Amino acid sequence: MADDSREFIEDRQAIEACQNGDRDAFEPIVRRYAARATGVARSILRDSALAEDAAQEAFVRAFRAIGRFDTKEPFYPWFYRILKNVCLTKLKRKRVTVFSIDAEDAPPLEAPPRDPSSAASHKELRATIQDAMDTLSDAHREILHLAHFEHLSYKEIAACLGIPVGTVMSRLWAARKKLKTVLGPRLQIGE
Amino acid sequence: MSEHELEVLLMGYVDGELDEADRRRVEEALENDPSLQRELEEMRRLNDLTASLGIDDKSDQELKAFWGSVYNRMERRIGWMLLLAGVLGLTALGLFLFLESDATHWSVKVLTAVMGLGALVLLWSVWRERMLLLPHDRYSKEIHR
Repeated sequence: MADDSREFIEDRQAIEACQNGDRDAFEPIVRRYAARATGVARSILRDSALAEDAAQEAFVRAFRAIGRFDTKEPFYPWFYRILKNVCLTKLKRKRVTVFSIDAEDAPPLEAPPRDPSSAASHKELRATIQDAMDTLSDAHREILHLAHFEHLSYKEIAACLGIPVGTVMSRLWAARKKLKTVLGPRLQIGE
Repeated sequence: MSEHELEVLLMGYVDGELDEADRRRVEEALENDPSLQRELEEMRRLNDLTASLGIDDKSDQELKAFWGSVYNRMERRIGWMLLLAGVLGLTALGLFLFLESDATHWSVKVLTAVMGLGALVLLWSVWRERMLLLPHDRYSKEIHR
């Protein structure tokens, strides 16, 4: 998948430097994706400390495998699969079987509102949506996380999950339909 | 076009993911279909509701600490591997020389051999568990992609 965006070009230059043995060149990559990686890991592991550890471990593994990375491809989908693998291994060890964003242990919100009443309603809304997401299947939660929290395009989601765009559309549609049904009574939407 | 296909296209329309032709098809279908218009409104409301729920950026300080940990891990991994190889090599050599020696009583040799055997059984057990887990790990090969 070719991509000419500035982010893609910067990633490619940094990765090529890493492939030539420059360890410091990995820093901009880590800085760019650290928050997203921690968010994904937290959504899978439901544990902030473990998520930070998993994200760091995934970057180390990515660096070790960077020689095999094809710089014509975008970095994030490749890295996402490594990260998911690390998280699933940690889950196996913990014997935790849930893929979810816990209301209490959720990713921090973008720009938290300063007004206390607004902050309270924002927190309530977050908890409501996350409770609803907790009732969905792993596959539906995962695709909703990528679409709604990471704001990825269908093409990017397809690359992360290794599925065709058509499957992304039908899975996302089904996931939203279920989310809407669960949220409906509380937020007056859906059936 | 089936109702399901139209709804999936409608979602793509809301997300701004359709090409010109599909966008026109959805707009035409929307013109004469109040239930589809209602569906569109619901999808937009759902997107609006989740729009503010994202992942926060880390502060510069946090990023610095994060990168520091990643860097240290990358560096230390090599150190640990060398250390482990040295320890294992020395242990094996020491054990061999110890068992070969005539100066030690046979009972000490037997007990030491039993201890070494126990360590081998433990290592074998851990390795076997890993080998049993790997074939069922659908993501195990992802790092090689």
